[in-house]
Amino acid sequence: MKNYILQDNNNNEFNFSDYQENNFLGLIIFRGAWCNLCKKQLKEIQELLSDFTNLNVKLLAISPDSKLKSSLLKTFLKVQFPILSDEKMEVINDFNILENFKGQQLPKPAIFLYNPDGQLILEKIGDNYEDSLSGKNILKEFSKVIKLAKIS
Amino acid sequence: MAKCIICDKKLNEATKINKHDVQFCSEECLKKYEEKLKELNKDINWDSCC
Repeated sequence: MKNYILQDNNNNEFNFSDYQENNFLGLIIFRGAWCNLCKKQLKEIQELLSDFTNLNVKLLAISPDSKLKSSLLKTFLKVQFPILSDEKMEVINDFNILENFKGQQLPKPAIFLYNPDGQLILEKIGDNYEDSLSGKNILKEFSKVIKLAKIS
Repeated sequence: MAKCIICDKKLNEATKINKHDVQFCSEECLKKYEEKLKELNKDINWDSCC
């Protein structure tokens, strides 16, 4: 994984590798607080958070929203993992997942999983905004790949 | 540099308010944040995109 750094909602530097420590890192890329499907997905993930933690997965959600909107969404959904703002799409652009939606460049729904060594071991990119995985399916996908990673 | 999430002003360490995992320069800004939070509650259709 590249050494991705964004600012958290308090303007402090947020280094992805430092956050990951020796865990798997699950990145959830979504369109923004205005997207109800995205909110639903984050809510479902939060409900399954202990299952992700049991798999040693640390989660991180990113969207092109402002810091204020990212913070409001996190508070509103009572999400216990970071929701970061990537307004300039510095990280999002790196994944080549942008699509045109109503004249605006927005990320397609996508999830990425990195192993503790920082290698990408899973990526799922939706075809369009409706093609996002439920929290349950993300957990299923992560479990499958992590099981395989532990065997090999 | 830590800034108020609402007005973007530089925070005074002695008077800043920590709430909702973020920092505010004043009670007024905290109130504005909580008003915005209430707006998020309105008209949510979990199954509709936008």
